[in-house]
Amino acid sequence: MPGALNRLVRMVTFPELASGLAVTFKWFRKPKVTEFYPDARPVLPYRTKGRLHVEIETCISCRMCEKACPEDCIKVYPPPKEVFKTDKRPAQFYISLEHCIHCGMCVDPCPTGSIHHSMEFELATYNKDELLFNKETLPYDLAIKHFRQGLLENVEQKSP
Amino acid sequence: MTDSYPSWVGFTKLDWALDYCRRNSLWPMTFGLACCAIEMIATSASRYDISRFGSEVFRPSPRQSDVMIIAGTVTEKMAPLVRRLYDQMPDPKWVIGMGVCTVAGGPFDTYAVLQGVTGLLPVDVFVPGCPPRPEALLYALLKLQDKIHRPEVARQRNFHGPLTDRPTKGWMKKGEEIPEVVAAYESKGHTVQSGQLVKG
Amino acid sequence: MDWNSPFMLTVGLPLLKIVILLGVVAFCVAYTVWLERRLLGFFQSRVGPNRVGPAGLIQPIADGLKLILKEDIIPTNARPFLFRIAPIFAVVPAFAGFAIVAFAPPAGPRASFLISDANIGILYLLAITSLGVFGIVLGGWASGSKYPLFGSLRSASQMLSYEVPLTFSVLSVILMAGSFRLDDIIQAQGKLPFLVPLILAFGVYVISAVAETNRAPFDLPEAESELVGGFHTEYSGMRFAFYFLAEYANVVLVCCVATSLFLGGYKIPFLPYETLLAAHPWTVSLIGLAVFAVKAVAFLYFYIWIRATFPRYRYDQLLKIGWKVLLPISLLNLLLVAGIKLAMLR
Ligand code: SF4
Ligand code: SF4
Ligand code: SF4
Repeated sequence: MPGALNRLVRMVTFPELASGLAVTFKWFRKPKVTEFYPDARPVLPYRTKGRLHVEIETCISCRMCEKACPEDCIKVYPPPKEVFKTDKRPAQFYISLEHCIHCGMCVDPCPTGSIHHSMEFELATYNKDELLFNKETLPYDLAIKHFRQGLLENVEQKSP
Repeated sequence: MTDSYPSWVGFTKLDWALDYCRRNSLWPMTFGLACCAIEMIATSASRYDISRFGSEVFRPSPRQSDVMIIAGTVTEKMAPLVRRLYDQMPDPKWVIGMGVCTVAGGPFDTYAVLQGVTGLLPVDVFVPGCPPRPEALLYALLKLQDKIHRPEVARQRNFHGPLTDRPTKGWMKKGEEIPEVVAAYESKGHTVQSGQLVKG
Repeated sequence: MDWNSPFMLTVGLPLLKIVILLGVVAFCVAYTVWLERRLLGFFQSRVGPNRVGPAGLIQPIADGLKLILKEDIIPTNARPFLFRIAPIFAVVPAFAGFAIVAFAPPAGPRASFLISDANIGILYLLAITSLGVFGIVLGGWASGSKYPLFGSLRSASQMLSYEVPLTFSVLSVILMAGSFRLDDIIQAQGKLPFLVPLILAFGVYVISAVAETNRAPFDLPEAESELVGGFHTEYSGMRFAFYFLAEYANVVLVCCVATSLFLGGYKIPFLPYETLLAAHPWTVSLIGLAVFAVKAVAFLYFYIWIRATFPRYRYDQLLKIGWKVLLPISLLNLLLVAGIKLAMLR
């Protein structure tokens, strides 16, 4: 009989439902885990694979990155032979973020460490033509300037 | 219409208020096609919390949604359905293309995958990345809000590459050179040997 | 203006009250949505809408205006006239139910805080709230699409199954109070809210009310994972906003009715309202209103808490709970109450 009584009591009082409610209430009282992204910069993990960043000054136009890229989205134009003897910097360097999958295959073979990922992830554009990066925009500062201009002026900055 | 009134009368203010309402209540469609959808779900979860912008109301029906986040690979077979869902959404409606798959086909250079959705839908904001971080999607949402409120920002075009040279898949041909670059070097008295790799 | 003329008393004053009440209820409904989104956020360890206006307070206004401005689509297969009027059928009963709710003790013969002091108030309420399902069934059928039809049929059978236990639990309250008037029921709870003696009826009422208002965990008519959007799949813009409004107005109504029936309405136990009312009518009335609001919001919190906690039931489980658990419990409770009442009469 105690088993049946127990079952009757459980049937009327629903202890499982009460314990479920207790769990949600526990989370209601705890501090929230939300990151306030546009108001506070997110703390990105070390080795975040953001937009590629190329130091044109140290690049020696060896085209190893171009060969390694599985997406064919790097194009390096070495300077003419006569120039190359003294100045090995590329004549033009394109990275198309239209195709780049941020895999990092181009970073490993680079002999001079000129190409690497940055922490920059705010890459959304209205126009996909803007996703082609060249010699001028690949270095970090210029790109930041490019992506920051004319943006988010009327998004209120407010603290959480 | 606004020309016949002083600018402070009615219309601009009302427009401002209505745009404010529209941009702060962008309800996305529950709609994910591939791996990017996981990041979209993460965006609406606790840590990134898209609801701060009033966009956590993922509507299951296209009739009640305002923005379609194309999150993932659009295959040739899925493309007509994506278009149909877009057509079923009531105006005004917007599209966010998430991931490089929607920009230009992404890693799938195959016969089965649509190489970018621009031919299918008018995309308002592209988010490159494979997949983009949840913050990147939030940033795209903010950019979309900005576009709704100030359409003129979307009209500013700031290219930084010659459009004619835009790389597409398979753009790398041996011996290809940029005419402008060649001309610049030749004007300095160099001879350019096309596509030559110099052993160093 | 002559406030004592028969015209004013029978038409003018009630009309004025109705207009004020409609405004207040619409405001409350909008901010119920806001409260729900904030609280759901808190329950899920996030913050909810907080950027649109201070603490996200402009969010419901933005949502409402946006929905009104959206394009209004009528599908090709829909029956246009029925499709257009169905949301009105849903929203009108939800608002009409507020007519008999006594929000506060009357501050004077002509300053009562209720619109109609009907002596069959509870019956009116039960009748009018079950009318809301017609809007849902009509909308689902008129959409000319299969998912809305499924959703509306589910809604109809859900309403049928849960109306019975709900009515029985309300009946036990009527037995205790001995009157159908909502004000009498509140007066009968002067010493002890009915929550304590009628805890079983309260449980049944809460569960059935959640099911009647189609809310999680019983939101089968709009189950996203099975039926795309349920009965409002094809509705867009303003007509969808009407359904939205109806759902939340029903929620607010259920909170108000639960407050009146089980939590003691505007009464604080053992506070002698009658003597105080004679001395300071307006102060006591407003205090009563505040007490009512606090109780209703507490109940609303519980409602949202339930939504944040429980997953959706399967459809057969829903009907099983209705017929096999709630109906026997509510009948048992009714018998118990009747027996106690009989013993007290002897
Ligand atoms: S990260 Fe990967 S896809 Fe992008 S450029 Fe480098 S190798 Fe190519
Ligand atoms: S591998 Fe490094 S050095 Fe070589 S071309 Fe690429 S970036 Fe320049
Ligand atoms: S962009 Fe990358 S992550 Fe996104 S759908 Fe395509 S392959 Fe998947």
